[in-house]
Amino acid sequence: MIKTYDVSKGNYEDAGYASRDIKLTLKTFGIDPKVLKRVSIACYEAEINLVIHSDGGTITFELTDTGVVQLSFDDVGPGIPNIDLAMTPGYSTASTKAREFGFGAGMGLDNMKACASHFDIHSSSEGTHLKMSFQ
Amino acid sequence: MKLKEILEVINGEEIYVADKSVFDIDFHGAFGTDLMSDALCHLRDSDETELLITGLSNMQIINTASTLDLQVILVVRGKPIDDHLIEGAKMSDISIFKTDYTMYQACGRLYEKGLGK
Repeated sequence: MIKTYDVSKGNYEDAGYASRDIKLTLKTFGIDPKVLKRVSIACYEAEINLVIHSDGGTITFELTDTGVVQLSFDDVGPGIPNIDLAMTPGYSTASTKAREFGFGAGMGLDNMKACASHFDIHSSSEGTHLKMSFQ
Repeated sequence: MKLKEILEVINGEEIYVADKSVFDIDFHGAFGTDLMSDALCHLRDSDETELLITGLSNMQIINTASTLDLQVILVVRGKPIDDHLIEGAKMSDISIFKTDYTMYQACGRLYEKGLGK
């Protein structure tokens, strides 16, 4: 099963819709609740990052025949200048608006990595591409 | 500490109750924050029943609670809670209560009474 979702820059009101839908979808497949929680946290953090930091992008969700959950987040820029710095817990470039909505603690990427079985991120000025899998 | 006791300690006001059984939920602890990303990180590995205490009142508190499988949110500082938020709570089966106490006062009172000790 594969589903894709468009995420718009700065759309804080709808942020979390894709993550909620993915969680509901996985629940119908009877996935382990502990895995489901890790998927939900990582997916929500990454979706929020698309809203806060990107110029817009897509989320692709796949549940493989072997029960592996794969999530891809692909945006169109502006990219992360220094991924190592962005991965540092507490480091944040989030706007005041993002903080008003409860985000920007600088824990997102590190939290996603802790949740995922596999975590891979690449970034250039043309976009950031994040892949995570869970099993 | 059961939710009904928690509500007595902080003079909690009922905003939306998903199910009457929530009043009998026995909470192991609570996490107070206005940064949802902190909650997502701190409560990631918790298997206990936790209460989310926050001064925020936008849809992201519902999304965060839902993501973490939390059943109850306590909003502090008497923040107004609009119908949009209540609709979101209904869709996610999450109960919301509020108190006029500040975050500091609410957390202090609950901790003093044994929640999370």
